[in-house]
Amino acid sequence: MSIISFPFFCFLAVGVALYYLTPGKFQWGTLLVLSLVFYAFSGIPQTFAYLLISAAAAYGAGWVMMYQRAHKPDCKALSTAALWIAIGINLVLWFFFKAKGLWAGPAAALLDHVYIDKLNTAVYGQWIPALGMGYYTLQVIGYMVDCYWENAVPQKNPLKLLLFTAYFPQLTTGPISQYNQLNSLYEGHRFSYRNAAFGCQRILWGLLKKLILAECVGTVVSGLMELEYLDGIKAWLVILMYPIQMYADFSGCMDIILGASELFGIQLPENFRNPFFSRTVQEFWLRWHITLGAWVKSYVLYPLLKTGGMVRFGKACKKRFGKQKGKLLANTVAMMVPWLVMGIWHGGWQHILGVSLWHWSMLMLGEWMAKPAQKLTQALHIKTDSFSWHLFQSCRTYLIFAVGAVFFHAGVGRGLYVLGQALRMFWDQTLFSPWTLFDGSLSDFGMTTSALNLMIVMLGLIAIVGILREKYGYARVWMERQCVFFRWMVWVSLFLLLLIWGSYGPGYSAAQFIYQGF
Amino acid sequence: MEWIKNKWKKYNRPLLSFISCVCFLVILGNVFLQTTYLFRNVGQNRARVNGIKVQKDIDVIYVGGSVSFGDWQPLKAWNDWGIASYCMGSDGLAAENTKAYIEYARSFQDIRFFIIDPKPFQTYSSDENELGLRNGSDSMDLTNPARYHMLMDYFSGRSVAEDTDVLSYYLDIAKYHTNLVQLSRPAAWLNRHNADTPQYRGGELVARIYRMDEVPSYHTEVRKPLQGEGQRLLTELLEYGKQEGLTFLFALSPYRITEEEQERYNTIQDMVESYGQVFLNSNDYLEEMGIDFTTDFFGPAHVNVSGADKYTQFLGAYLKSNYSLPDRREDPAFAKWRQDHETFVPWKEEILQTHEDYLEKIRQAEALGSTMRAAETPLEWYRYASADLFDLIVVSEDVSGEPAQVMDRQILKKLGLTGPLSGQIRVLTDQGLEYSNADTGEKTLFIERLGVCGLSCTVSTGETACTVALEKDVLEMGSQGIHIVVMDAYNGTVEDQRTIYITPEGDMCFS
Repeated sequence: MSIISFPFFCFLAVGVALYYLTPGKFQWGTLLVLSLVFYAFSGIPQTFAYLLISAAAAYGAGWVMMYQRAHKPDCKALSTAALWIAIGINLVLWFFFKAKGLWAGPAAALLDHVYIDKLNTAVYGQWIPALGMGYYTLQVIGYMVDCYWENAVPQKNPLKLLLFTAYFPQLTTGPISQYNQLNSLYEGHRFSYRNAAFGCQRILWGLLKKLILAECVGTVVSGLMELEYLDGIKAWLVILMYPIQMYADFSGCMDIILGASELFGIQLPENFRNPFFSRTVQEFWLRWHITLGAWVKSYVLYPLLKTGGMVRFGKACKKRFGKQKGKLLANTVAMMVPWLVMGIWHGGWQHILGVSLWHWSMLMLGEWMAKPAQKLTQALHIKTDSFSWHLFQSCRTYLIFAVGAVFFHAGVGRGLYVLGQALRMFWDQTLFSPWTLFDGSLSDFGMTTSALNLMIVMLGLIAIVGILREKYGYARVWMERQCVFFRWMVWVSLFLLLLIWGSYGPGYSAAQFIYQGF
Repeated sequence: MEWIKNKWKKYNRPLLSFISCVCFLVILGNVFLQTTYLFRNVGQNRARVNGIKVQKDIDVIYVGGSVSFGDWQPLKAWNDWGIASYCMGSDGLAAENTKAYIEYARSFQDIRFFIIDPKPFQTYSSDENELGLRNGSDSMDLTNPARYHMLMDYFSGRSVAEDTDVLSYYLDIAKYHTNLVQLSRPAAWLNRHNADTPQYRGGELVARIYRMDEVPSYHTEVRKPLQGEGQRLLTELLEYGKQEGLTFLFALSPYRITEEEQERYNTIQDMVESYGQVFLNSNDYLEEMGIDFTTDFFGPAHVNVSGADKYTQFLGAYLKSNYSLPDRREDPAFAKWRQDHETFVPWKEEILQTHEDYLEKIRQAEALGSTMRAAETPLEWYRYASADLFDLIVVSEDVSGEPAQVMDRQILKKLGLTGPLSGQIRVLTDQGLEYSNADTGEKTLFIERLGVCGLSCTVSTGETACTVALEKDVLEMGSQGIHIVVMDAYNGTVEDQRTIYITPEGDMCFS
């Protein structure tokens, strides 16, 4: 049951009705039942065992921590051991089932051919595709660490902890919520017209992004990527269009998820905040996949910076290279770890290159070059507070992200080829073919006039919503303050846009969400 | 007063929210419905299903497949007997549609007399019949319960392919929303309320002629059970009629019926009569009607304008003498019928005239065919064969572009079939080359409608044999030479079939 399918929306409608018919005290139970039903129809039911093991390990660790604090306050090692064992169980499960992109290749190379069949069964067996494992594993680890640090009180009711792990809206592509952010899961909610309206509006907006923009752009990108030979212009099209597809797909999915959760009165943390408005790579990562960044910062970077080794390394750097450069160097080394974790979490070597190494190096380059760049802009009298400078910075950030995204999409080898063709265009005239933009040949890849118009309309709408969000918090809050006829006209128009131009129905098979695989 | 004020103060916001929410949902629902109807195909099938919503001056409805509107002429029946009837039929009707159409019609007006085409029950099979179903489901109002009963019946009884998008049957916008060309069609916009009306009260007339032999004996006392869900669907229909106190006349229109089909009709007749309803097999009255199988049909199961006239005459008289249907000719509430009849008469005369013209052409073709068959040389024969009265199917054996045999090419050159008229399969009509496999190179060419009579035809070529499969005939030919099938364009009869070849001496001959 995909979250963009008709059955899902029927399920959601029934679920919301049941939820509000349940007395507040037991509403969490309804949510748990709904989550189990969703899992049964969306994932492979047997793989629910992984989720159970994960939740059970977290519950066990929490229970040990409570016991230790109550009965053996001096024996902190007991909690520490429980924490590491539970984290270990979760990581082993995740590594085996979700990170096969990292280990399957080397394992195949190392193993004797006799074991290849067994390996294939292990890697591609029917129990492998576990729904939402990457997301709930991080959530559960975060919960255990919060309990260990005493930022959260361990959950006494195992079923409530299971709900935290399996809450159905976030099983598809997150967000990765922290335990304290989901306290409202266990609270009773009364039906609120505002929540219902906002939830529906957000779902509609998400569907528009996914079923129109992501599918339109995705058709062109996939069509071009299937070409064995890419000339320079086509390579640039792939590079520049894929981030749009990725954003429309991922943020569209998040809008549906957050909207669905809002219908139950439960606010999930945001995962996007106009990432393409960012002026720097640092800012970009505060606006893109926010919950993953926040998780890595909270549970990897900050603990790492507090370790004795890192403290000593920082001091040594400062001593040797001076206060500023030493701090930067220590920061550079420390930052590599969370970036590596993010790359590994995505589960493939291309992600380590496209997410970890590329973005880490760009981020650090930005840090190292900040001062010289500032001096240069001053020397050239560039008006850094102008719109054009902002636009330039946003385009630069977009391009940096787009380059990394090529590896994310195409893998290392093909990614290098695409980038190579795009760069070679500047000195190899045979690759410079701007007429392909105008001779109609791109329509073979789905870029027809109507598709182009749709993309322009959707990008325009996204830009308007983005600007409203920057100015007023949420576009729908701004909308709420408008005259009723204007509001209705906008929502009916968006509904019609989806109804007519959405990619659904026979002959269409909307692609799986890009981030659904993690 | 104070109490009311306090209550209003407390509840005015939720109340206004509720009212505005309801208003918004009504608008949204209306937009959804109109968009759905806007994107549906526009045509007579849809108009016939929905005309019942608008045309309220009706006493009798003829429900069925194409025979219901091709065989019955409501305006003739009104003019001759004062019967106010309506054809509520669609092409390829699935058995599930019959009861749904009756329920649908009765949701708009209280009609109690239905003439029902029993053929869909006799031909029922559990295979998919998407076209037949969709002609109904994609015409009816989205909110009408009859539509949902029909779809549920269909999907519970039929074996549909696994990848069938069932939802797109229930919400057909899912299927048609890509049909953006509808947005540029005035007819689609005018139909956005789904209230189109058919011409001539649903009746349709066809001038074309399909020549058939007389019906072989089909009479039998054997009873064969209906296939699949046919029995259940018929029982449900009869039960519904009984509960609602409706009168059903199951009228089987004239066609080339077989003994096996009659065995199933016997079963249907028994079932129908057990419910006190009437089954009328008009094939038992062919002589009385004056049906001529050489002039009154345009397909194996469909009468043309001439046959429809005879059938309507027969059935109208039957209705008048066996049922007490009111004569509406002088009823002021039915005045619109007079106007409709006035437009119907010249239209019918025009079609009758075309039908006469076709008959004349057929007679000419028969005469020319005799002369052609007597021709002594291939060129003389071909001169007759290429007359406008005939369609030619020219086939040669080679599969790799132009015929490989130099001799075959010589023949084609002499017949004037080279240059743009290339390919191993060509079909020539009075309009010139209509079909060819020159572009595709496919060994088999399917032609949906060939000639004025509109026959379907499949032509195959190969290294060992060539085949021409017409609705009535399958012609097998050898691999050597150029094969030419001459078909009467007006009634689909094969007038002649020759193979032209070059002898070792270099002479062009035919056999």
